[in-house]
Amino acid sequence: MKKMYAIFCKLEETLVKACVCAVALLVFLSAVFRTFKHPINWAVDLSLLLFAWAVFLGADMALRNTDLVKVDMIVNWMPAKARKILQLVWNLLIMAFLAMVVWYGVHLALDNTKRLFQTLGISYSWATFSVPIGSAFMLVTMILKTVALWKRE
Amino acid sequence: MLLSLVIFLALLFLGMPVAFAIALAGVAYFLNTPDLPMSITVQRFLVPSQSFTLLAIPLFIFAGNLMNETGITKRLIRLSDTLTGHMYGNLAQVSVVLSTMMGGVSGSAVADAAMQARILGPEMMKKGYARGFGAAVNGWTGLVVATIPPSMGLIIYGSVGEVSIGRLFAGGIVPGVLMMVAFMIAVSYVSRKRQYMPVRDRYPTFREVLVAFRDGIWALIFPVILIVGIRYGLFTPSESGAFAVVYAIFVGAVIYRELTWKKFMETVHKSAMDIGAIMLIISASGIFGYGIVYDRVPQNLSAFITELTMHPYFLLLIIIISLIIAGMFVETTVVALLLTPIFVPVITNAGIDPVHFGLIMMTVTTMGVMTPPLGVSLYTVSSIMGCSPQETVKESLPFFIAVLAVVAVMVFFPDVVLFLPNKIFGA
Amino acid sequence: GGKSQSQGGGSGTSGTSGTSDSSSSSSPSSSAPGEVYHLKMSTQLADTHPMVEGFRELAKNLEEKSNGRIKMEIFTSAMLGSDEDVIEQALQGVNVAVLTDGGRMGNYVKDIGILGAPYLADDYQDILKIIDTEIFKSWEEELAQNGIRILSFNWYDGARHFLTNKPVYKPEDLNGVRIRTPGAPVWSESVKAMGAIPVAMPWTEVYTAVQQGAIDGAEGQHTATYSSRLYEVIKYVDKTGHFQLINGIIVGEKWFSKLPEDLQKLLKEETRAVAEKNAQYIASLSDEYEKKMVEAGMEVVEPDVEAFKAAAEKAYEVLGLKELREKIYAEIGK
Ligand code: NA
Ligand code: NA
Repeated sequence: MKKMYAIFCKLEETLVKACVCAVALLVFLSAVFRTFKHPINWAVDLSLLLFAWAVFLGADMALRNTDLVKVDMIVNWMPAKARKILQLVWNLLIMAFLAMVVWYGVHLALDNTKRLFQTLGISYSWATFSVPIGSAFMLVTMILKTVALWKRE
Repeated sequence: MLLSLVIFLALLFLGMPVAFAIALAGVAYFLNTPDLPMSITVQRFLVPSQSFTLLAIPLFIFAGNLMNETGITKRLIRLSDTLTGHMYGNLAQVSVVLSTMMGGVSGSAVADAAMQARILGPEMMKKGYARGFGAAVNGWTGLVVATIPPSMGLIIYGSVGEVSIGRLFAGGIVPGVLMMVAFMIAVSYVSRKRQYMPVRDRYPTFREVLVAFRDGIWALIFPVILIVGIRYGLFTPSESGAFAVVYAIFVGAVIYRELTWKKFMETVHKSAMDIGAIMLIISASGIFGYGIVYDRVPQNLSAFITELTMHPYFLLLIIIISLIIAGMFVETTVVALLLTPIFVPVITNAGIDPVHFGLIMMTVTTMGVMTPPLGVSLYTVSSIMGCSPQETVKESLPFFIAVLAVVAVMVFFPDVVLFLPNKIFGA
Repeated sequence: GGKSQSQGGGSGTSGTSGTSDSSSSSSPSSSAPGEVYHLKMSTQLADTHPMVEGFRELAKNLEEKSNGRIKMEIFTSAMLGSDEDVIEQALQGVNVAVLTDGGRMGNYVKDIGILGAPYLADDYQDILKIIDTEIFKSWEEELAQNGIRILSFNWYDGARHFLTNKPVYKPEDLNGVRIRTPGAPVWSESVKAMGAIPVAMPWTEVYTAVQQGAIDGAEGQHTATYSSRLYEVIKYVDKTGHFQLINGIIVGEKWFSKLPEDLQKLLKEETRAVAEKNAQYIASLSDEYEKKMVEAGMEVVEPDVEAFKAAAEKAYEVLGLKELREKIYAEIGK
């Protein structure tokens, strides 16, 4: 199970990195080709599609490996126990938010499959899906973090 | 919308990560507005990542990280060191000058402050600089990075306010250099008082300077390439980030030959995480921002301010004070995203040039990265330097004054900002 | 048939509690007739665009004629989102209306995309005929089944012309010229058929992109060309008139079906009436703008329109729209 999850993380990170590199390359090439009078009109749409995936899968990567920015001045004054309870409450709220995004995100993507990336001729739902799927992965990350927090003394 | 704001501040101060505090406050608005189906929160969450202009942000983050692995940073440190070795507090002066030079390739105040605290911090502590002072210097000089083009803040301002990013970039050069001078004066003042002695008792020789310059030239000319490239239509400002990436790879792999495949992959990894963390905040503000628009807050606030005063100086004073306060409590990019549409129509009505205002606004807003209670740089540099944020705040006063002085110059002498853009892009 | 309630429930502002009337209405309106309906009108156009003046008039008329039961607020400059986003919001049931072109509707009902094809209509009168055809009505039905309700489709922004820095008289003059056009296939295929290289780019970037040579020109209607001050960076307006730019106001069927029947009717009639008035206003403004642009140094070129029409035929072939056009022309007798 642990091993499977590690493989999954690796895959996710590879995908994010591929998207970031592809976006840079696409934007660069589209400018170069336009200069030489052969504009690639689908480059913008494709780079935005890849960007969406880089953002929401990348957010999971950041959530798993780093501490997100927060204000801890007031929290640091609290006794350790209170701090832990507060953090558990926040984690639950965040999980509720992510679960909501997964639920409504899937619905939104399925409701409006006819919306197109005009120059690509493919459905915009491919971008919309990045939100619920990225959020589902973040939900998993938050569950694991919360369990770890719960067990910590 | 007021309820959402209260929820946001409560969550923020009780330690919820900024991105989720914004998102949940936004969701609260949707829950409180029966006309709005929850599915739209998902659309608004996605939308910031579907802007071609904002695409420049991840690309500049990527480019900035690449610079550090290509040997560009190393050479710039050597150059700064050569130039400032004879000055009091020269390590702190290196931080100022380095930020000015790095400013030409990097667009993020926070990323650069962290990088320099890591590289220059240990040496500063060894030389007996107060930790808080070291943290303050590395943190505040990040503002220069954000002012000299390219600049993440200016990209956001330009894209949200529909102001030419090429002009904004050109407008940032002079204020950036002014800020460098102001910071150098501040550092010099503190360092003399505390006797942070110079490492060299003589000025650098012309030869030393020349050699160091030749080494760093590839980084130093990049902002020029950037503006020339935009000016002659090789790329649009939205595309300039991609050129920064390609340029960094080219310099690192071909000219300095320091960028290996392994280093490249590590940089991509780090960049991917940086992008995820920053874009999560920006995306979340998409949810929050919808409520603001739906409730017509920008129009109402604009009308309110307009009624208060239309005198340009008073107007700017009010706006600057609001921005300082907003910057204290809200993340910089979010301030730019949410307040630009409110202020741009107001100042345009009052006859203030939006490029001029953009530089003022983004300088003041970016200060927020170093002001408590929510200052991303403040926390980062303090933790790297191993001091409490309070110590850093105490040491921040001279730098705060330096920035305000530069802002005052920009307010009273618009040409400081507008001369270059008018020269390059036509009046 | 439903007996239409008199507008705004007549003068009887007192308890119009005659909910029994609603049985005749096709809508399952559970709401009281006195309820106030808020509508948020969204557009990508700037606040200063003359069509927005039409929206303001519309808002005023709607409120008056409904006795305050419809309140419309206007959101310009894509504040609520891009047109595509706001259409999605409408589909999900948000109380928004959007000004949109036929191309975007073409995602939902393919054939309606023909409204964006070159030289389909010669002028505004042609357009009015087209939107009254049975074919158009069938598209409306189909859109409604897809969750989109057209209120009116006669918002006219003028004819689009090529904007270039060398005079263009015939399609060959456009060879190798990079022309900005919206990304949708109908537009880019048309521009390509007329000889140019289409470049997709946001309209707001056109000024700098032309000034700096990233592109060689654009195509646009006078209202947009003038307000974006393109005459400062572009020398010639080549009056091909290849598109008659027509827009519609749509709302979500989810929101629309909740309205009482009289308000549904009022919305449709009033948007159409205001649009017709606004179209005349914009037509006269366009002439005025052209004069001002000429004063500012722009030159008007009168190209060989027939040659462009002939060239544009290729777009109909590529897009497979020939048959559909014949059907429309047969119905309007063109
Ligand atoms: Na620095
Ligand atoms: Na910079």
